[in-house]
Amino acid sequence: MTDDDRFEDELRSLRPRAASDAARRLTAARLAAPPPKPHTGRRLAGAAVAVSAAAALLAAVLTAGPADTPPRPGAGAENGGDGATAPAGCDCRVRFRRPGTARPVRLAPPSARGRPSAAAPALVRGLPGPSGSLDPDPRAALRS
Amino acid sequence: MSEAGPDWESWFDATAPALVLFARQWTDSHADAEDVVQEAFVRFWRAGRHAAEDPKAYLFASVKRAALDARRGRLRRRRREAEAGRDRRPNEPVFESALERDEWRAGVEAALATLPEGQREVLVLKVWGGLTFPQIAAVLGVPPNTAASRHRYALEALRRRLAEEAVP
Repeated sequence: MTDDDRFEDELRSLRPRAASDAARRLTAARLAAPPPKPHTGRRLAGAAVAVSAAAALLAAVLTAGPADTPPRPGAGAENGGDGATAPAGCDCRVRFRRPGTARPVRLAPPSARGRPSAAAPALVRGLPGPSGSLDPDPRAALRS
Repeated sequence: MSEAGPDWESWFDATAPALVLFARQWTDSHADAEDVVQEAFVRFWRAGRHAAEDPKAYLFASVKRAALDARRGRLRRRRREAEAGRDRRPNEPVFESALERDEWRAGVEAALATLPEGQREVLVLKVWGGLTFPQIAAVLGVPPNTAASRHRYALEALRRRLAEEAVP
């Protein structure tokens, strides 16, 4: 036995103070009680899992393609139908629009919105064109 | 459902004194150390004792974590108390001793208090906790050789300090 071992034994002869009866009783009471509710963080994590599952389900529904649903009447071959059956006047292009929302607005070309493009100044009567000279009346050009 | 039974009681009786001593390194009083041990023990008994590879080492590690958490709260409280001008509690003994050995006890406690924290916790875990060096290494997150060398340095320093006190 070394000096260190003897010294260690001497130290070990000092007994640490025992836990009090109150600590023992409190420990027994806490162990007998039902465990506390999950931590808020765990509940949030559970909610996040539920939300992500719902999002995955929604994405699966939205991305379900022609294989899941029959083609619309008159749909083209690219949309799962045969273009030959399209009734006259039917717009065969598939438009995606959420139910209850407004129809997508088709914007007119810039020249038709009151702002003449640089390429068509000659259509505006009486204004100088890129050459600096007055352009002739376009209706006259049409008549000729 | 009650988890209380002779199992936990035998575990508590066998380990609580060493756990309280271990927690005392970071607490001001025996009562604070008991609170820390109680918190760590309840958590350990509910979850850790089945999951841990080495339940005893896990329990000591849980006590250290709980004691450090409590110390952070206590530092905030101490600042408030200092501002309010309240007195601190006097130091309490950490060991039990007969009257004739009270001087030796006080000397050991004073010498322990002068050790660096890393050496002191290794010494407490080894001498009074009964842990092996691999277990101590697992508790403290250090290599076993580091735990062994800290233990050796702690014994040397403690012996030197006690010899100095013995010389008038």
